[in-house]
Amino acid sequence: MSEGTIGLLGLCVLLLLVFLRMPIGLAMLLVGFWGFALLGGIGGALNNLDAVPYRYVADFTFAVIPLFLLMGSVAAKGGISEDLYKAAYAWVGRLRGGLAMATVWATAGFAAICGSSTATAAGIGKIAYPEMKKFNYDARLATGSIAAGGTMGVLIPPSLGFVTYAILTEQSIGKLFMAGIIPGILEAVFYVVTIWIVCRLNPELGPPGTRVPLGAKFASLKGVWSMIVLFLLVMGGIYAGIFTPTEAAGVGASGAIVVGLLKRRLDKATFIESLADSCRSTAVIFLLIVGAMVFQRFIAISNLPFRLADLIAGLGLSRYAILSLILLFYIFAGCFMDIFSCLVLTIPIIYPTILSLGFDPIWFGVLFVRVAEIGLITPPIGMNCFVVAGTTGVPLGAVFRGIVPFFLADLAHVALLVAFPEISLFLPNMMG
Amino acid sequence: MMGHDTWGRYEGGLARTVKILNMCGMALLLGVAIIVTSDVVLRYAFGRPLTGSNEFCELMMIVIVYFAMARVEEQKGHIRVDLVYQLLPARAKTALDRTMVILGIAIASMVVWEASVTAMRLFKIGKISDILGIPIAPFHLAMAFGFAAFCLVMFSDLVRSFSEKAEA
Repeated sequence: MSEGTIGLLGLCVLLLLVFLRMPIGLAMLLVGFWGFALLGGIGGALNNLDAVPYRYVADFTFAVIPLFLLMGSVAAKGGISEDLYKAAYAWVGRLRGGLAMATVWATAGFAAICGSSTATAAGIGKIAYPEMKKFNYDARLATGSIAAGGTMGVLIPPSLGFVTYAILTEQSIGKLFMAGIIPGILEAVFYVVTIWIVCRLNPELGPPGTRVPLGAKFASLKGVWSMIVLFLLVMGGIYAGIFTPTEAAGVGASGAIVVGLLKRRLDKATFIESLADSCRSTAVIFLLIVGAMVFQRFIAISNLPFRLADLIAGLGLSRYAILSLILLFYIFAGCFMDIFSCLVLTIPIIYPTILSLGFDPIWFGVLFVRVAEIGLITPPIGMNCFVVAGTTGVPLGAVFRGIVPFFLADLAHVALLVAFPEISLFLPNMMG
Repeated sequence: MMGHDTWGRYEGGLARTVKILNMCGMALLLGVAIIVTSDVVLRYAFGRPLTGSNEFCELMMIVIVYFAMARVEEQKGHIRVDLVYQLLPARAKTALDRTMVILGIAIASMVVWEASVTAMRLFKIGKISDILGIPIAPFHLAMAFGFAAFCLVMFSDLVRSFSEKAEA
């Protein structure tokens, strides 16, 4: 049997185990170990079982994951979602569809301190939905704006999707974070424009909220200034080269704790809960990363990615046609898997093709995260829709129907990012 | 087969161990946040960074990550794809669960073995970290310990699934 055939068989066995509900990290460890043992010998395979789990955890750069998780968790439990929504409501709530627009801006703000989409959708959803219900908002528009807005959690930095992509592809976490800022802001703008169009076509879907005096508008910023300062400190520090992303995450986590204590919103129980949540999520992500790295070693010696790259090159398609196919594949895969599963299962195989086609790896990282986000709101898995349906009590079918205009906005946004790579690469190229 | 009392004591002991491991990880995560921030503040405010802070954090990462793995498994938090599984009949689900747990225990126990062997080897040669001079072997052992707890949680699930069937 040739190396490539063993690689392909290994991939099939992996997918079988994953779809038969083995934890993905363990499935990748298992297949990666046996595949490497077949191609590279049992000694090397056994060595991988200690060396990889140690090497890919005991790294200062990767401490960025638990520290950003801690920052997001502390901020979320400290009631930042309520403050963000109040501020966004005060500024745009008076407009037609304004409460849904406020939801989008609040989710964008929440995403700037929390790297998880589902946490963003859940955090803002429980605050925003009762307000929209009070003003007789259409349930589909209300839940659609929350679920779609939540997806910005993995595009706007700090994003755990970018960190995992950076680890798997050995790219700069800082550059990926910077690359996500403008596309993230644009995504929010696209959603706001979508809400504006939808409410223009049918004003009953999103009636305007109450008028807020100018003084009260400025007063509403009081609750969010600390988090704005924290975000600017963290991202500004990374951009200016003052902090490494890990140091920025450490400062961000400590800052969020100090802010929580000063605002008297962080008690012993919530703090312990934040630490426990962060440790749990860290373990989940690292089992995936460790499994992916063991599997990647097997896939590398099987030469499968290079054969795939040769095969794709032999198709005679233009590189943008191939990129479009890859992105369509990710939108499809995202319907069945979350972003982390998608990343660890496919990047070891697809990434060499992207490099061989001459695409910028940072730009592809943005595109990958962006299309994987779309999977969070598309059936049958659409994790954000499940979360929103769970927190609001709106039937899942209505949530999925409410997503349709936002899904169309997503496609337009992805097309823009593909057509103009500078949107993603402008900030990272400005970095030193 | 152990009696119900013995098994109950074993499960209680395991749950306590997993909880303690998780709490160690939580305490160290807070420690890492403090150390990283102190390093930044001391470097920029006083021009005196904390020597070896990065190395300390690297070693602590092993404990933070691997000591939480068993806790996550206890809560069935590791990422699984349910799509096909949901469509299966109950008996097939049970058989599949058991098979996947056995495969999981097999690979995780190999990590335990390999990490323990490496720990013993590093202990014998007295390998220490470059800057702080901290022995490396205990951290490979910590990794082995974390994976061992992970295995034991999966083993408990397996035994429970068989005993539930016997009682039914």
